[in-house]
Amino acid sequence: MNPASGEIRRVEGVPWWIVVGGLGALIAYPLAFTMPFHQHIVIMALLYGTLGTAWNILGGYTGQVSIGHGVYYGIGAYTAAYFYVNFGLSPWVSWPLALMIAFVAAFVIGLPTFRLRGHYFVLASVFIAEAAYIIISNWEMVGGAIGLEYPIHRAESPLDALWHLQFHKSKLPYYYGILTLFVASVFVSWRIRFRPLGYFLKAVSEEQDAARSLGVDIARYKMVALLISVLFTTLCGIFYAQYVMYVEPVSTMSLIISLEIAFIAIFGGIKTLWGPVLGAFIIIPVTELLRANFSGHIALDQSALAEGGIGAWVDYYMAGGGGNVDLLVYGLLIIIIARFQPNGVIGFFHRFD
Amino acid sequence: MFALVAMGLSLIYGIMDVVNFAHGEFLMIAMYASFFMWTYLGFDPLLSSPIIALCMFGFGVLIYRWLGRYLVGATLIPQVFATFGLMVFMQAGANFLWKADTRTLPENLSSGLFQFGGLFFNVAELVAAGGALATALLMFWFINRTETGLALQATAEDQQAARLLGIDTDRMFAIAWGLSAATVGIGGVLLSTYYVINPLVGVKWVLPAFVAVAIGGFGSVLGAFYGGIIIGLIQVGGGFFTSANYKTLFAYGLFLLIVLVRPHGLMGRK
Repeated sequence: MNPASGEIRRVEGVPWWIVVGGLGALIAYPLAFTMPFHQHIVIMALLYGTLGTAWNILGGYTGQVSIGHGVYYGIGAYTAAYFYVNFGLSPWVSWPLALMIAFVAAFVIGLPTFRLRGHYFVLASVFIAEAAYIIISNWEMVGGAIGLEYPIHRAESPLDALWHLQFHKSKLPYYYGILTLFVASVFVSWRIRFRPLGYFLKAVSEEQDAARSLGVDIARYKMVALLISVLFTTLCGIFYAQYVMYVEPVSTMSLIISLEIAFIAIFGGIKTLWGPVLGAFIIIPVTELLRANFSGHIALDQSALAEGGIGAWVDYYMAGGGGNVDLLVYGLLIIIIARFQPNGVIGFFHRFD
Repeated sequence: MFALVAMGLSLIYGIMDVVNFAHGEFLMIAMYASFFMWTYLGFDPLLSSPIIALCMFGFGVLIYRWLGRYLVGATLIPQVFATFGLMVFMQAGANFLWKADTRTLPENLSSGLFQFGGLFFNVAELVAAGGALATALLMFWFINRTETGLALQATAEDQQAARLLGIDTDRMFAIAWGLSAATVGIGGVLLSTYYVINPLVGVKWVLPAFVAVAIGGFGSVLGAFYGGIIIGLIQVGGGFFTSANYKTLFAYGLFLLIVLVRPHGLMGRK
């Protein structure tokens, strides 16, 4: 991204000055648009941009289509929430723990399932995500179906607020926090492709058998891709928990979250650097606006949620948590993109290919 | 019941190599259809099932014409996500049109309890089991005994060869989608006589059905039938010994076990 070096004039097909300009615009945005809702939309787009980028490292570059990333997202959110709510432990302390749990989960899930291919891998990831969802919604220690709610901390000083990561009135710290994470994930996703690792991942995604016959340890590279992907997904989970200050199974671990994460990358275009970013910045503003304008009444039926399983989705919709019209549009967009432009929106810009 | 849902799923997969993730939503639509037929027209589910099956056949063909056709031979990602998109869309659509409220069918012909040897059976469940069995038999007859059924099998075996022999593969695909939708349609109608109806009921039933298909082996209709029965028993058994909340966990665990140990299922082919 350094134009002075003269080495890189384009970042994956996008001229460097657009990249720098875009970043500048993102930095300046919350200062120009001070309405919380306007800021919220871009925060969500950045959050999903990061999630989509992380997913793309595994699902795109490595070709392992996972519909279970909600598990790692949930682990991040739940670990942060659990330690904060019960022990008053700041996420600054608990994040290594969250990452450790997520990495262990990734190993346990990845080792057996990476042997599967095609539809079997997809289905296995769906089932693992569903199983995790059922377990978490019946697990009393983490609040079961009701979840964990953050106690409100009245900060005495800005430093104190930073320690607790609670900035009630201002969205700015959240905004710049997620922006940093977003830039980091895009940077990793960009640089990874020029490293030997990137070539190995590509080899794994295109010709597993050929790669293996050349002595590439495909299981190892899949695992590395998964771990990088999990790293950012878990951090996003922690961010989400801090941002909404309320963690429950449906909005963190359900199948629909796992699907949304993958949709972002696929809608924008997988195997490309900018696809997931584009996807997030198209889909999220549309769905957030729809959600804000059309979502239903807020009435969480806790007893029905406690039933657990997928049946709790009903309540998710009823609560307007996932909205309704926005999901309608979500589904439609994905069908249309899969039907007319399987390469994602980015496929319309051929020079980016 | 799982057997019927699983059979339709296996049919599309076997013939077209496409996993239809929206299959459960077909089930959900059929359940709503059955509900509305009864409440507005007074048609008992038993009476309306052939009508709904026919409509579902048309619906399946329509979906194929507009969407499924473009997925034949497509790469994994558009395939998987087109049907996932359809699933989310249909779910949200049902939720939008009919609200998230859970509905149950009022009293109908198959309501009531039935006593046999000191055990009580729900008549509706017995009728459903009988109906499912009958539909399954009809399916087997169609696939193995009629010309169209054999042509379907030929298409599943080798698309190119089938085309050379003068089989209209595009038509066969359409029929496969139609049949798949029709079987799940009947499944939905039968299910609606004793099970609650809401926009999310499809996922609840179809995820275990995927397990059934995996157990039986993707593409094997008979295997899916057996797989469905196994899943039904495991869920009931697992739910009996632990909590009902965890009953689907057994099915998911079984799936992982099966695909890791025996990737092509009990009766599947490569």
